[in-house]
Amino acid sequence: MNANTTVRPQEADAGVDIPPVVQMTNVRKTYGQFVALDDIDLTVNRGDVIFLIGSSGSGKSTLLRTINSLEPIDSGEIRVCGDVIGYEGLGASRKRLSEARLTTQRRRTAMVFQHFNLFANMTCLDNVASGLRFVRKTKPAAANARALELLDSVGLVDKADKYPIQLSGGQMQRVGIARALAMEPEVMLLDEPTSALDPETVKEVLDVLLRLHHEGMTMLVASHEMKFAKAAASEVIFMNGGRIVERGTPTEFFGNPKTVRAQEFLSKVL
Amino acid sequence: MWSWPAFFEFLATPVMLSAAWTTVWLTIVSMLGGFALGCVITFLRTSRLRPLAAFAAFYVWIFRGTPLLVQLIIVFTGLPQIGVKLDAITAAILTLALNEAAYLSEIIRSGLSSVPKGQVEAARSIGMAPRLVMVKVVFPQAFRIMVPPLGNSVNGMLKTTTLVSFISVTELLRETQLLYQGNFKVLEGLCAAALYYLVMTTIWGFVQTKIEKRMNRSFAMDRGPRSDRRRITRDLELTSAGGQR
Repeated sequence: MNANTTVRPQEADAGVDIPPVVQMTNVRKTYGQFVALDDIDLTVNRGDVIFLIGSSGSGKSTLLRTINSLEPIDSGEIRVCGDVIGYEGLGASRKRLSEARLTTQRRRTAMVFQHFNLFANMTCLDNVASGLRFVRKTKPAAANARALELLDSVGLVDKADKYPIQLSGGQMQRVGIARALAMEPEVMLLDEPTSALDPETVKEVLDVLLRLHHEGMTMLVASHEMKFAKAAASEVIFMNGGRIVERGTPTEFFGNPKTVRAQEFLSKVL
Repeated sequence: MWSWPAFFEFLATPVMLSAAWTTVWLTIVSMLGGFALGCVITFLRTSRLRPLAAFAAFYVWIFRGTPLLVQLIIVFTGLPQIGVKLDAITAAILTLALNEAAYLSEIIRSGLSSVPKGQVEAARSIGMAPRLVMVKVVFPQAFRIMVPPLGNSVNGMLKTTTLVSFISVTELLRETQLLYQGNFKVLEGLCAAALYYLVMTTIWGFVQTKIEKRMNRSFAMDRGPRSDRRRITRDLELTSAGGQR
């Protein structure tokens, strides 16, 4: 933890009190020939809710996963709260951090997945408490109490004893959100959090996310939920072929998309 | 002529019972050893270091490709020629475990790969170290998948231990042979031994069903809360009643 939490001197000198929660500079990632992310620049400040929009394969998920260092990057730099993610050293001589260091870094970013990915062998309570118990080494009683609070905050306190298979999709996703929140992340990375849900249960998940937004949670969301974007987004980013093609406020982007590609996409999605 | 009294005498003899116990603990120790070694083999097989993976593949190839009886005799009778002298029981357990590991590694590998990758990612994303992910998330679920084939292996091992009678370990079969060489009641003795094996495999069958039921707990839709959790829920109801609700 120690090496990662120090504020870098040059930033302090430049008078930057608080570095952006996430800062991506010239990030590029390829899978063989396929360019998944190309020259991505992105700044997420505290309290921002940034929407990533684009067809599947446009790089939204990959972008989120690189921030959580689940995916290595080819070049460029990602910083979370000022600390470089995933690598040490500069340029060609930089090295991928050890799995132990990556593990420590991941604690500041929490992911919510399209398919929830709840631990099937654990109850909801254990799912939410797992990070506290196993990673934070919180005492079991305290971890359980906190997990119950979080389950209560997503309206699922009565499901604490249930296993994931006994829940609906919307409930599973709310548990997934509570599990991510338990780690008190600086930023939540949500990868299509409502795409796998029945239309009726989408709302219950969006309500939770909206509440988090009002509480000031910083979020980066890959989602096409227009209403949610309009209500919460500080910026909408449209991606295509691994590039950021267009960015703007929700009103600008949805009301008056500038690029042809975005216009085409929106006409299909809406 | 078949003699019922001789048959019952075989069944009731304390030496048979203690020989059956030898069979049971040989099975348990060999299976545990085989499972531990099987985990190592699986780990090596999935290693990114080529030589390790190759060694594991070679190991499985050798032990699955040659008869266990030959392996037993090599270890007990052959190895002393190059200075490795093991007593019969050590040679028996060692060989059974080495042999079983080759088969179990396949069961373990398929069990581990049955756990959805998404859960591994989720565990990593909340900052769990790789070892924790394995211990808390992957292995418990993989084990559930492994139970039926593992149970099958235990059943097999109970019977496979008869082979160690060849290297003079006095387990159930050899004890029976020693006894009928004294009273010449060959058929009665072997039938009694067969019945012993049948009882042991049947009991194991019940145990396995119990284990499977227990492992499937978290995957049953109609399950009620676990007793140790009821308390938590009750505490919680009290808190939330007095709290924000």
